[in-house]
Amino acid sequence: MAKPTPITNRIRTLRFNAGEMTQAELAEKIGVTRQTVIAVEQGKYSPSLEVAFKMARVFGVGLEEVFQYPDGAG
Amino acid sequence: MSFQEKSNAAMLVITAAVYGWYFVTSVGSVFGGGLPPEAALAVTNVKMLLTVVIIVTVSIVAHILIAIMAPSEANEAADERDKLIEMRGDQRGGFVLALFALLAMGLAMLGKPPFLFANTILAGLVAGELVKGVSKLIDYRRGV
Repeated sequence: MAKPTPITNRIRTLRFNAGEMTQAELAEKIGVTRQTVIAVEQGKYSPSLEVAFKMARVFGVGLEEVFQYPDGAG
Repeated sequence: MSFQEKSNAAMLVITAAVYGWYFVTSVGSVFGGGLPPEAALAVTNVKMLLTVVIIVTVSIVAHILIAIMAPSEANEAADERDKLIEMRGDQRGGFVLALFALLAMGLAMLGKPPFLFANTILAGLVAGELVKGVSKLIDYRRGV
C-alpha cells in the first residue's frame, strides 16, 4: 500500500472560495488530468513542486496556504 | 477512471486472455507432446506471430471503444502522475522480466531446444507486462 503522506491540503476550500471551481477546471488550468487533481485533493498523491506552485498561482495564494506539512512530521 | 487507467485495464485483460490462450494451448500440444524440437519451434513461431496480430487488432478496437465512451478524455496526455505510475510499473515488471531472462540463459547453458528459450523469454515479457499492469491498477486506485 502507498505510504500515506503527512502533507495535507486546502484545495477543496480554495476551489469553493474561487467560485466553486470544478476539479476539471482546476486540472485544465494547471495541465494535469482531473483524476490527478482528485488524487491530490484526497491526499493520495503529492504533486511535483511545479504543479503545487501552479495550483497556488491559480488560487492567488502562497504555497503554504494550499499545502501544509505538520510540525514534527519527519 | 481516466483514459490511461481504462487503457491499462483493457491491455491487462487482453494480454492475459491472448497469452493465456497461447500458453495453455502450447503447453498441452507442444511442451507436453512428443513433437521434435524443430516442429515445436515452427508451431510456437506461428502462434507467437498470430498472438501479436491478435493483440494489436484487439487493442486498437478496445481503445476506439474506450475513446467513444468518453471522448473528452481520449485526447488527454499523460501527466506527471501517470508517468510516475508508469515508471513504478516498469520497475516491477522489469524485475520479473530479468528473472525470466536468467531462466532462459540457464536453459541455453543446459543446451535445451531453441523453442524453450523463445517461449521462456516470451513468458518473461508477458509476466512483466502483467505485473506492470497490476502494479498500475493498484497505484491508480490506492495512490502513489
